[in-house]
Amino acid sequence: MATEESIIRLRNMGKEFKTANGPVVALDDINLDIHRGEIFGIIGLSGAGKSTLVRCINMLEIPTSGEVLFEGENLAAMSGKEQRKARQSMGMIFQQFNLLAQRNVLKNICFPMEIAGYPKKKAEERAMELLKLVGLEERAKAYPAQLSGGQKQRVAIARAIATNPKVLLCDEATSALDPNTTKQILELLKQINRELGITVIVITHEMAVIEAICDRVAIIDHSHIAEAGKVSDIFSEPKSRIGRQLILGDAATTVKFDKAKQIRITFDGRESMEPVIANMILASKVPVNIMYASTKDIGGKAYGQMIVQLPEDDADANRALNYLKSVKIQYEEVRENDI
Amino acid sequence: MTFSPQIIELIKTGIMETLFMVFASSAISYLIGIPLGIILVVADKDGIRPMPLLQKMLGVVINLLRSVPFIILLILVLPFTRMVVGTTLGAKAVVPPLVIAAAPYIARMVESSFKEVDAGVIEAAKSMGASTWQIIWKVLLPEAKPSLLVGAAISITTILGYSTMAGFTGGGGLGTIAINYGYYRYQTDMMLVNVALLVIIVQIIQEVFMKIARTSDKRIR
Repeated sequence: MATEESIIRLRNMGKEFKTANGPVVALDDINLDIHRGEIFGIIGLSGAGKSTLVRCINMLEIPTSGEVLFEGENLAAMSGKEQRKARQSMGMIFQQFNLLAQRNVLKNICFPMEIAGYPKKKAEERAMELLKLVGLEERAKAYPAQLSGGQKQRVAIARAIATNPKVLLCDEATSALDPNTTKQILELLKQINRELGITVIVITHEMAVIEAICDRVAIIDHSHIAEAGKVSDIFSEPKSRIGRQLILGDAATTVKFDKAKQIRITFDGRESMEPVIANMILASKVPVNIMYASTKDIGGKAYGQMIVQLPEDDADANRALNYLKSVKIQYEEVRENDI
Repeated sequence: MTFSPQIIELIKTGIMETLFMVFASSAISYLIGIPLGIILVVADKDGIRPMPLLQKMLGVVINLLRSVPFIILLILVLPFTRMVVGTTLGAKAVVPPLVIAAAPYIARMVESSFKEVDAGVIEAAKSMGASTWQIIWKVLLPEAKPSLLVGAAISITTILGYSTMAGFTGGGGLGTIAINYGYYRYQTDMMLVNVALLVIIVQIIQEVFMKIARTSDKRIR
């Protein structure tokens, strides 16, 4: 589906907010090309500027520098009326769904079509089609208050694509949903991308979302794009600090060993095929530091000892020790000069 | 406690006059107050069409009018009342001062109802390319409807309270009867009957509007 042709291009885009305490830079020198037909992810920690970035794409926030090109047209240069027209080509869904509480499901989906001036009958027919697509045709007369979070987001998706937009912007669309519902909503987004050819832009703070559906990803950190590229490339080799932090998790950077506990693990004839240390790390999710090791494999049994340093954090260290206890491996705590 | 047929007739007229004053001035006040409330919200510096200077000025005028006690406003606007209605006596003459007092009050009530509308929903409408007018008509007004109705119950009963003061300048309605008979002539029973009737009218207005607000609100399952 994805092509190399750019549908949205951000050129040196920046956004500054004027606050009582002086200007705050939310985005600085953002350059991105989003290809027609792809699912593009934008990931970052909260406060990194990702929500502002997505709102700059449809001009809900006006960039203070650089430009946003939608199908080659500079959005900032358009009149208010042209901008509203362009927005009808860009659907948007939100973390909090933002359905009209006083309209039923069908009327909510008709809403963007009313704005775009569709005749009422045509709008309702289209709304029913969309309800079928998102699997909620029997809830047409229900009000948002009667729906679950996942159902609300389905309605929001149907509403966002009602006017046949070319782009669907998803602002933390699954962040208020449980893991199971998240999976279903992501599947639906994928289906919409594949079957309707709508370019999808996903804003999230969850790596799992990017992994599940995105073709390419940009990592945003402190108002800048830290790196961008194919999801498979970035996942296998994150180059930026924030990229490593997001993909490899906190463990790689934050565990301290300075004043850590050391233990001696004795091997007294266990199966040497069993990867004890690796299992301990995987089971307890705690990295360890091997200080000294002397083991021998004698006829398929492991003999010898190993000195391992556990993380400084007591809870982490105890998790590793509990694992050793549970698999009945002998260990003792050692002081530095005991080694 | 028995009343002569004339007194009963007088009270009946009083009820009709009170209802006329309250509903006529409420209707006119809402016609003025809703657009003002819309301007207060929409033209706010964080609103959908910021016009901070206009919004500030309107706010000042509204606060000014709201800070004048009604009994004083009633006297202050007498020349204006004579100009509009042709007289300063009777129920009709109470409508102009009531409107002048109630419209700014209603503008503030409407403003607070609109402010309750979820900013996210307004943002969603914007993301669909809705114009300012479309947001007002299709989002602000319908989404705020239950809250506007609750506000109407409060506003109309407040207007009813104001209308009773009109008795001091020769207005009309139950308040006038209470003042003329109960206060000037020391007929406590007349005072009590009128007060009881006012209480009943307030209860009915309150209940009716709350019921409409409840049944029209789709946020409740």
